[in-house]
Amino acid sequence: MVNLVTSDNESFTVEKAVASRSVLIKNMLEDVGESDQPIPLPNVTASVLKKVLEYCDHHKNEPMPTSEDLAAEDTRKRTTDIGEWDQKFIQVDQEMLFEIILAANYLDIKPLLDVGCKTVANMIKGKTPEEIRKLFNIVNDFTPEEEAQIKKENEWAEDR
Amino acid sequence: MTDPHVNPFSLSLPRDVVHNVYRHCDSNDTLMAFSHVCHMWRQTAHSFTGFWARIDLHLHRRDPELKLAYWLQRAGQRLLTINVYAFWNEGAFDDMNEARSIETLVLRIGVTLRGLMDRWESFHIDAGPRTIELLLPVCAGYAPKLKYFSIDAENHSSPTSKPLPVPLLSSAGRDPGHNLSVSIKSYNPRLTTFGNRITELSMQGNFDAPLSLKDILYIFRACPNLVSCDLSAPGMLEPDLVGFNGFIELAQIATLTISLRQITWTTTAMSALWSIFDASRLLSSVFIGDEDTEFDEEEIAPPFQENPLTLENIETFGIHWNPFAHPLLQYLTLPRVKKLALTNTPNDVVYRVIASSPDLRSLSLYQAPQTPANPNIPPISLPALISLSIHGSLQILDGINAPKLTSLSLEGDSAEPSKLRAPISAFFERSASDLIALSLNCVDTTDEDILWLFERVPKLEALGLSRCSISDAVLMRLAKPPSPEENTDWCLSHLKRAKIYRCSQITPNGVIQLLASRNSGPASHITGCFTFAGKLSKEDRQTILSYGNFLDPIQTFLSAGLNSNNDEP
Repeated sequence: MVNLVTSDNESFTVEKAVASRSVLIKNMLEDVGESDQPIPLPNVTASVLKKVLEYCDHHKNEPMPTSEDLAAEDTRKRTTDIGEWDQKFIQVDQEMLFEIILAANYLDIKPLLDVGCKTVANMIKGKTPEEIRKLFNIVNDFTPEEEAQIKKENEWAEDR
Repeated sequence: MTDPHVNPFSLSLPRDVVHNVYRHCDSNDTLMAFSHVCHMWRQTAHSFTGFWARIDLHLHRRDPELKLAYWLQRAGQRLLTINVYAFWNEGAFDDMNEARSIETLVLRIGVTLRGLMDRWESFHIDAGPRTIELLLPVCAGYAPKLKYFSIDAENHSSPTSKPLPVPLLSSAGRDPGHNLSVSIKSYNPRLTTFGNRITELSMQGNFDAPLSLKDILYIFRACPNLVSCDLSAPGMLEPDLVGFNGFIELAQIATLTISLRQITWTTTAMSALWSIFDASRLLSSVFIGDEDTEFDEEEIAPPFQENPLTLENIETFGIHWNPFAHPLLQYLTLPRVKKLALTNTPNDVVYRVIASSPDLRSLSLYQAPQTPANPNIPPISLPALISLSIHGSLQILDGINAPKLTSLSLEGDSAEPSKLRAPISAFFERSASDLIALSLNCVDTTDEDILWLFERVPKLEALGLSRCSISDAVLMRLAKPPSPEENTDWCLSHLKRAKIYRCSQITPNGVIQLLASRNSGPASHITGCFTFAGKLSKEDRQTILSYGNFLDPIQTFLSAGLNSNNDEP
């Protein structure tokens, strides 16, 4: 078993196979060898780690992506298809979604990072800049000159 | 007022994560929208060189040159994917002023693109022949990183004036590990030295861009390193080539597909094909088709009077309506073929080929009706055959023994339905014990024959009967429930799917009785689809649909239309 300690000082004891879905934790375990020392995760809160561990537990028996898989993915056309279980798992509020993405990036859990990024991509697809601003509560801070340039860029995209 | 600091996406996510989101968007419009949201998103989008390295140039839209410059500025030194589209009316070239303006634009774009050729990874042009003929010659030179090159003139009606050389250059010999895929639609260019680098070639012609035999032979000569080749186009009638020795060597070719219409398969052409077969030891898949059935009567003398050729690595082999098939097949042996599809091939030639193909798993034959069987040949054992499909004369079944067959499809000629019982009873006796799927189409048979057949296929799961001369008696037999007293089970107790189409003597009542019996309990539930030769009453339609979606949508539509006109049967 592995003991993980979050930024808000909560302890989680989990199976090694579950914790090792994180490449960061896996490497740390390999570095320290057999040890009862808790592993501090200063960038992850308890509520987020709980969700991340739920994901890792569900996927613990799946093969880890190899470096060849990752390299191939870069050249392959990506899709935004998300598995059924993952879709339900990632149905969280926007704040938690970004926290999960950040945690997956920090802990180096590539499949979870992809699920998060695909979810954000799906939220954005087909939306106009104004709709995106509303979705993420963003202010339009372009100058008139930049607006003029943007107008020109839109002309390139229009079908005429 | 909205608080700009509550922007978790752009403020808190690292740039590489945001780029990961961009990659999943995979759409120009979405990524353009990204860059129009706010300063921070714009900066992040502009730093994502992967997006800007794909340049879609619509020459018919406003300021394509500005767009090109804008994209290039942000693409860094990345390899480029360039897609050029010109959806203007090529008739514009006939107006001198308009033509001059188009030509100037195309030439300027071409000059810029030529300066980038060392970074081309993919180049695609979708335009009419006149635009292609303006742009391509400008791009003369070497594109060392090119992996994909494509010309598409399919949506542009103007015919090409003459075959234009693709001016891209190639280093001598094949660069190991560097594959170049080329796809050309409705255009017929000369490939010149560029052909030397092509490993994968797909050409689809149309009547504006047919392929002559000469074209095909020159394509093969220009592309000696082809691994995969797919040529599909209308052919051209032409005399035999003079001064062409007919020798072609494609040492790397693995997949060869030539699908043409009305090509003249001359002696030179056949010699060329023979030389490809002879020299190409990696060849594993061959399909050669000619859609023009008028040619099938023609017999062309084989140019090769040599020993039969054994193609050791062929696993898939198909010849469809091709006049030279018969003489060619007389000389070929395919010892490892797994999938074989032949059209209008004399039975003795079929027997000869399959007799030397013990690994054959799938055999598809389209035989002329009433092709006589050869009574002197004992059944040829095909121990690996699991799928057999025969269209036309069924006599050939007399010469086949397939003990592991699981799928059988027999289709007679609609004008002259094939008799079922006589030609194939012996076949079923020896070959059908493991059959899981059976399809009979346009077969002249009796209820007794079908019921006799059902007794020999106890494992059957899927049954298709289309335009067969059977009646409700067959369905009644299938509907008869098991009887412990008589120690009987369902007829075809494993049946899961039934498709019965337009059998003239099958009535809605027969189908309703079948469904009522088989689908009343969970044990022998079947799915399927039924259409009837006659009209279907509203009541019958509703009753059949009450058991599930068993009616073909067309039948449902027609019945609904008929019933709304009170045209009850």
